[in-house]
Amino acid sequence: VLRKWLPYVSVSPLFLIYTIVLIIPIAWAIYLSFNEVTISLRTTFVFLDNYVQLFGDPYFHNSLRASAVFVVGSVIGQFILGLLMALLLNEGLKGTSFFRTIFMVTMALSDAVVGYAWYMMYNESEHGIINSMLRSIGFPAVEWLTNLNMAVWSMTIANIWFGGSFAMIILETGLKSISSEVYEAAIIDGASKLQRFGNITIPLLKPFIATCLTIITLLTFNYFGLILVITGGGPIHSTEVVPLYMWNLAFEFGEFGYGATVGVFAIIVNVVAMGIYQFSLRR
Amino acid sequence: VTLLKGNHIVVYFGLTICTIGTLLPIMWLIPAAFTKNAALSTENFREVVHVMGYSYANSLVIACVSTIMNVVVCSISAYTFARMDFRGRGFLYNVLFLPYLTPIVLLTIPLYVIFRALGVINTFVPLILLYQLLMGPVNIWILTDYIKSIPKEVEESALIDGCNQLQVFARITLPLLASGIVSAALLSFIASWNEFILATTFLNVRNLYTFTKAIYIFSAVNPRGAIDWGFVSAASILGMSPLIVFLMILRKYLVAGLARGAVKG
Repeated sequence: VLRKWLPYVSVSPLFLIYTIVLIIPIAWAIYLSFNEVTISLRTTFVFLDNYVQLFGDPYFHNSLRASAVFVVGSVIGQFILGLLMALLLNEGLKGTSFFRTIFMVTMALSDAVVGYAWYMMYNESEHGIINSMLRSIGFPAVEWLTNLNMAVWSMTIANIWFGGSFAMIILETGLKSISSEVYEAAIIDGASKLQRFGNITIPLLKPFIATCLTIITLLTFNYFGLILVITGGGPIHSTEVVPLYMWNLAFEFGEFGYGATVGVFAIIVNVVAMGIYQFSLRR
Repeated sequence: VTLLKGNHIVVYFGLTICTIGTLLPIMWLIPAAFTKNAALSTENFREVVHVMGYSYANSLVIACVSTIMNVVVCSISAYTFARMDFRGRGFLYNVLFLPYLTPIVLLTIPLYVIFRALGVINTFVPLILLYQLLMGPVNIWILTDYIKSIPKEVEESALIDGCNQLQVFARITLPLLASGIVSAALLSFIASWNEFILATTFLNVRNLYTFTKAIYIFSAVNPRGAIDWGFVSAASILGMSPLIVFLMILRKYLVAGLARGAVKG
């Protein structure tokens, strides 16, 4: 009898925690999304009203646009940066482990620290090193945080810098799994560097690329820490990505029911993204 | 032989550019932190210690407790997933992925109500429990993978010698698992020390602030107004230095952990 129940007993602490802080809250949030909720948390059942409101809400449409730029930009940027760093490290020259350690430093940082560090660099005062450098080489200063079209790209650049090393680790693991004999054979056949990259590196790296892209897509879509620090969603909502819109709704305006609706929508996006990934893996 | 065939000049040039790019935003904090009224000084650091020194201690307590809890809970669960066959195993293993499909902020509204009912609002308990979600799944993947790489025969012979499954886990598997546990602990510690959004949402009493929330609250001279860059820079440097040192010492565990956790999951 003990043998039969032991596995359930030993995973129970984990799933108890999951139940308390994840499963019950998700179920509750789904319930809240069908309700009007006041600040004192009194609920009135309104069925689909929140969802109807969602589809006509210009601020929600705006947050989808901001998220699209932020997620697509961050994922492509982090992937390219990570791949570049991984390829350089994979050459295995002297000092590689020193450089890898430096590239990994961003992993030890908090959203709060990264947010303020970039906030300072983007600043238009004397602390704004980026504009100082641009001016010193003869370019005009850029309104990194005040221009409505620029601000979301500024967030994306900071996030690419923040997350590139994570992609690097996964892709470097992938590159290490490609044996040097494959390259040697290609060189004997007279393949150029570009052909070797396109015909050997990328195809053999594919499973790692798929994993890397999925993880960073999910992480980025649900992420807004550094945006909260730098702009809080402004100027005029231009950097208000979906989870930040939800946060602002709930904690700035006390719209818990409607905030939960935005959150449930975000879960659906996540599940669909995950499903596409699973589907593409199977093929 | 690799892609670039070790073309030294190109590779070192690329590595140098990436190094400068990585370090610039961090290094740029240093001059601001050591400047007060246009003069070199450590005044900013003294001010940070005075205003929010206690918040680093709070961060340390939260990070240590949630790391220990995470490692204990995850290694027991990972052992179960790796070694025992039971109904629902595949299903439960898939449920592990759930935190990564959820915007964690969504949980804060219901959780606030739940934790208030449990009477643990304005304690560290909500954060410590929530931080189990941050690295929990990854750590279970890492540890499950490590356990699977330990030959089963080692454990079986101990079972034959009369140990029960719990003793086998504690005496045989755990010591062989040491490097996996270091990876898991490091990931947990980094994630919980640095966590910002949940700390900001759940800690509303000044003396409970973690350093991330304290930076956010105390940096602005006025709400959404001018920021005291010297103060922020000094506070950031104090918050990140211990972890950077940690990372340098234990970097190979971090790489091994992330590589296993991400690729298996």
